[in-house]
Amino acid sequence: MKKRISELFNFSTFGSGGRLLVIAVIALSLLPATARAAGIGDILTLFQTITSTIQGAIGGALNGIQTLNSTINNFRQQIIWPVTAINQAKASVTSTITKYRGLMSQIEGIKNNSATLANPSQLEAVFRSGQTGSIAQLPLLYTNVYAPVPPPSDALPVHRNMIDMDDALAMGALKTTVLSDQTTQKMLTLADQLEQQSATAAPGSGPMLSAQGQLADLETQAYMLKMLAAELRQEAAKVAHQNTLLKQSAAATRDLQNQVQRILSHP
Amino acid sequence: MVRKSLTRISKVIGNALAFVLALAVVVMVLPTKARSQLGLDPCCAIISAGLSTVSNLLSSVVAKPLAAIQQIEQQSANFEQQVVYPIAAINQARGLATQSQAQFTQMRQIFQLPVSSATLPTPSRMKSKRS
Repeated sequence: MKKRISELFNFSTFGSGGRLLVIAVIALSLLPATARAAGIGDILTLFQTITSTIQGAIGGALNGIQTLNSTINNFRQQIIWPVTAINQAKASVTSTITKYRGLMSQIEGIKNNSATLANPSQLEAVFRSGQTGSIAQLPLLYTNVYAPVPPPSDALPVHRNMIDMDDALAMGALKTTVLSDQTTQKMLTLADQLEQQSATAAPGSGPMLSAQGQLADLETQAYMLKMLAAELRQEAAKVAHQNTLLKQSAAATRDLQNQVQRILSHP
Repeated sequence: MVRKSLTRISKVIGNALAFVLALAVVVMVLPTKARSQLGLDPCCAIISAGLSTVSNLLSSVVAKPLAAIQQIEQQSANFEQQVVYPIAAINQARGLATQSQAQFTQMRQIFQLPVSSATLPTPSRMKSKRS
C-alpha cells in the first residue's frame, strides 16, 4: 500500500507534460474561491466604493442633518420661545394681578345707591343687586314707587295702555340691567381666571387661553347687543308715547274746532 | 558519482513535490473555514481589512453624527415637553375651557329669564311679540 502511494506521487511516473498539468491543478486549487469568482481587484474596488459612500454621501448628509437640527433647536430656544422672555411675560402678568386686582375689586364693590326714602331705596336695592333671584320683587316695589295703572273708571283705555306699556318697558329695562349686572360679574370672574391662568401658561397652552378670551369677548358683545336692543326699545316707546300725545292733541283740537263751529252756527 | 547525486536530488525534489501535491489535495478537501484558519486564503485578509475599515468608518462617520442628532432631538423634545407644551399647562387650559363653557351656559340662562312686565292685554301682547 505504502509503495503504491509513493508510486502515485512519484513524479517519475508522470511525463514532463504531466508535471506541468499537476502544477497547474495545484495552483488553481490554491486560488481562493472568491478571488476566482470576482477577483481581488473587484473586492478592493467594492470596498473603496463602500467607504467613499459612507464618508461622502452618508457622512455628509448626517453632518448636514446634525447641523440643521442644531440650528433649528437653537432658533426655537433662543428666538421663538426664549425661556427668559416666557418667564418675563409670566412675571408681568403676576405683577399686574398684584397691582390691580385688589383695586379693581374695590372699585367694583363701591355701592352707588342714592335713594333715601323707604320705597325708592328698596326698589333701588333690588335693581342694583345684580341678583336675578330678586327680579320677582321688582314689579311690586316699582308700583310702590311709581303707582299702579289707574283703573278703567279713572282713565281712558288708550291712556291706560300707554301707562302700562311705559311701566312695562321701564321695568323690563330695570330687569335687564339686573341680568346684565349678574352676567358682567360672571364675565369678570372668568376674566380673572383667564388672567390667573396666563400667569402660569406656556407657549403651547397660550392659543387655547387666547381662544377662550376671544370667545368671552364675543359673548360680551352679544350681551351688549342685547342691552342695546333694550335701550332701542325704550327709545322707540318714548317716541311712540310722544306721538300718541300728538295724535291725541290733534284729535282734541279737531273736537274743539267742531264744537266752536257748532256753537257759531247756532242762531 | 555525479549521476548518483543527481538521482538523489531528483528524488528529494520529487518527494517534496509529492508532499506539496498531497498538501494541495488536503487543502482542496478541507472546508473553506478550515482553509481560512490555516491562513492560506489571501482573500480573507483583504476582506477582513476591508470590513475593519467599513466598521471603523461606520463608528466614526455614521454613529457619531447619529448620536449627536439623537442628543439634539432629545434636547428638543425635552424643551418642547417642559417649556413649550407642558402637559400641566395644557390640562389647566382645558380645565378652564370646561369651566368657561359652564359659565357661558349660566350667562345664557340668565339672559333667557323673562323680563316682560305689562299687565293689560294689549300691551302684554305687544311685549310678547317684541321679545
